Amino acid sequence: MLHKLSEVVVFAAMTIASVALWFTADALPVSRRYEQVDSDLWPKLVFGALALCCAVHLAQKVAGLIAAPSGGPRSEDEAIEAYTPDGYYLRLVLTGALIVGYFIALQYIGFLLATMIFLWVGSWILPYRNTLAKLVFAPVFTILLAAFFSYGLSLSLPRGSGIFYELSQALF
Amino acid sequence: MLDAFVSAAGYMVGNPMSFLLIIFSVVWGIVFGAVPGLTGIVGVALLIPFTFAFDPTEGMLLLGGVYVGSTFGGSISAILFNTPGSPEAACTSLDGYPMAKRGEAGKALGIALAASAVGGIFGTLVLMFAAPPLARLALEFGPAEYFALAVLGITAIASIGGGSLIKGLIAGLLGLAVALIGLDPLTGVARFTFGNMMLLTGVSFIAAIIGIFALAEVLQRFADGPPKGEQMAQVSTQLPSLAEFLATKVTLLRSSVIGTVIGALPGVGATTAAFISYSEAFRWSKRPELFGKGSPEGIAAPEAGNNSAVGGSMIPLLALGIPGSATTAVMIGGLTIHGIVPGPMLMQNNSDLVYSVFIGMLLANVLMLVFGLRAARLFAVVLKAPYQLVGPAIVVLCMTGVFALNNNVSDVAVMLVFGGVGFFLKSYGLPVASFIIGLVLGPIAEVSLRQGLILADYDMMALVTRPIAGTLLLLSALSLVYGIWGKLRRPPSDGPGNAQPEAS
Repeated sequence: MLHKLSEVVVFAAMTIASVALWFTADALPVSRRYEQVDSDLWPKLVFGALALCCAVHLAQKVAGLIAAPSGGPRSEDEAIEAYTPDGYYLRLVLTGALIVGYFIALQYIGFLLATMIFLWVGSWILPYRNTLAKLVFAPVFTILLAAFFSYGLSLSLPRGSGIFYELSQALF
Repeated sequence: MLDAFVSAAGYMVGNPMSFLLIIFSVVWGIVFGAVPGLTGIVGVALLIPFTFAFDPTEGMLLLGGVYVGSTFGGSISAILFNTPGSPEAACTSLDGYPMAKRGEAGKALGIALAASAVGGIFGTLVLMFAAPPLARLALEFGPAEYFALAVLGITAIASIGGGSLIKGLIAGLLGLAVALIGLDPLTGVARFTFGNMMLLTGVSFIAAIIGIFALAEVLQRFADGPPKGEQMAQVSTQLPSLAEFLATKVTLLRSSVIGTVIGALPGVGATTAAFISYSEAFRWSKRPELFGKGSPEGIAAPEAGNNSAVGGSMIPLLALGIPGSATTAVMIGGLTIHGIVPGPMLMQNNSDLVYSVFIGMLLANVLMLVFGLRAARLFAVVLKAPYQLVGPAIVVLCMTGVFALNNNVSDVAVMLVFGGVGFFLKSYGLPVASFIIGLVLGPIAEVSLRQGLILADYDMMALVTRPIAGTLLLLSALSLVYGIWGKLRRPPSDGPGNAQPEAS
């Protein structure tokens, strides 16, 4: 039921966004030289078609909800689509936050430290008994990868800023 | 021609160094293709300074071998980790990864390898025997023909809908919409950038596909929880049996022809060839319901298509001096630093070099079978490691590769956003294949439509009634009708490319 409701919300939002983007395309600066094939020609076709398709799909979903408000009998595909294991959203948020955190950390503390910390923390999200492997893998992988990119390919890696930049400079 | 061929063969036999260079370059190319973000272009570019140390023929053999190896290499990580190592391998993920998850990683790699070799050899043979006429055909392609070609690919969006026509259309249109971001190629107006300077150059395709496939996969698998008896242990690479190979012969031939022709067209390369080959394989398949779920045809088609495009893209380079792809554009640099000007006179003035490159590329495709098997086995060992360690390592590899590509953090940000997009598409059953087809073909369709209309004095009929364009558009219409008819005949649960969340 929750999945069906979320679908309705998502496709309603997409319909509205497509209409809004159609108008954004309509407001693009006009070029006299290319008046008949201006910047808005293709975007209007794309967003117009997208709005139409999203509206049709939305109508189908709403009709389905009205016909079976409690969820009703589901096809096998719908059942798989709606299936969420225990702790799904918690792990999803944790993993997403960790990846975004790693991206931010790369810019401030540099590749070596950020990667090592990310790999250590990442290995704890899912249960895995071999603690030694978790501890050893992060530094070994980080050093090998840094060596491959920096010395093997002469491609630079993020070095962080401030004191971390100095540290990266010394290490590379 | 025969004299030049014999002379080139004599040069190759009398110069063992050239064989060593081909072996090295194929292995180098496979590694660069397999590491996400590095791609064959980087592999070729990094080797260009080293060609100074060799004569021009050896230098070109080195670069050609990298091009061949990298085009296959991308499929290794695409199949094993759902992480396309190069853009042209994105399509291979769609069926390669589901097959690997079924415990048939070795078979999937074997099919990819055999199809790559067949496509590569086909493209090289066409390059050897039909470069001048094909180059002339490529010159016949104007905006109207490019538009028709893009439409042929885009019409597949409606067919690849995972049982839902409307979902296929929505995903494809979303791909077309994302491709709109950036400066308008005709007027220079910033579109849908919302004041963000980073978006002016548009969305980096490599960053986008790595995000959609790799990041979304890591997110999905970590959210799903501890792996429960996934069958990824069987990883030994095996070439398909003769019967399995012959079962895909029509797909291989069709894809090789498509790849060679598309490769020969300047501006569209192996990625477009792979997607159009895939969509046509799906459209004409007797078992379209298996696409997206681990169909051997779904692996063979893009691999034959993108590898035959390698030979195809050398046609305009050697016959006309026009690069057929980004990699051949970099290769022009390798030729010019040796004082060789590619173009119509090259075949007459440097026939030894040209025919040595042909023979070298044939050899590289054969050697790819040997080293591809070994490389795939080496990469496949990683599958035995626990995903708790491999998952974060894939994220690191993707971020590092994408960053190193342009030394630019904004590309990494684009990859993160598209990781979210990929997860969204999966969660709502929107086919990733349609989205990517829209993203790849959208810019080609838009620019060529507008340029074509300008050239035709805004007369749409004049645009669509040109012989090649008209034929391609007619083919698009017929195949669209055939695809929709086939979809209506099938039960609604069947369908390809539907990246349903797997309840692992």
